[in-house]
Amino acid sequence: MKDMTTFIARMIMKEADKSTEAGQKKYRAYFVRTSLYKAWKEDVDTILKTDGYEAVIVEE
Amino acid sequence: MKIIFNDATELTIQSAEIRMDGSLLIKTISATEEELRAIFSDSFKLQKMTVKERESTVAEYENYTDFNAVVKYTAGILGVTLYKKGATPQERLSTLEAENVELKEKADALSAENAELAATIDSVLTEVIPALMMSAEETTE
Repeated sequence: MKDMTTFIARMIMKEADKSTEAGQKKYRAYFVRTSLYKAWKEDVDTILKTDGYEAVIVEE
Repeated sequence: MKIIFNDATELTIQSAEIRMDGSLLIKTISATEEELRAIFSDSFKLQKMTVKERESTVAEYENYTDFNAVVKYTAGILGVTLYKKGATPQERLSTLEAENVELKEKADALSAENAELAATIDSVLTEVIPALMMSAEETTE
């Protein structure tokens, strides 16, 4: 399921490139508003931190 | 070594080879420059050339009908360069440039299509599925 991880990370980073707020909104859509994708959260967070997008990781 | 032309005439040669730019270079001391120009300007003769050495066929060249130049080497050796029709470096470059433009357009179209697909999937994952899940939970309650 590496494809799912990279897909979600890519969608979040794409929004984050527009603005941090947009990136956070997308992050919430995947990991705060729903628990459907929590299985991929840790790996996505790793990618976001590695690529310099740590600012979009929010808890609420 | 000799070349047998498409019209069955022959020419004794020193060598025949395909060069890196795709041209055929034939070296000979058996004809004058004028004779070579006459021979290698006859596209019928050039349609098929068979190189033989002691009755064994060494190579066959087809459709090298674009006469390019006569080159003078030392010791009276003359070289003739020929290209396949439509395959001179300039023609190949033009073809490649056109293909490159076409490929770039296709790549751009695919990239746009890919972005659209990704956006659709993103929307399904973040909006459609969560909404369906909530609706299902409410129905269950």
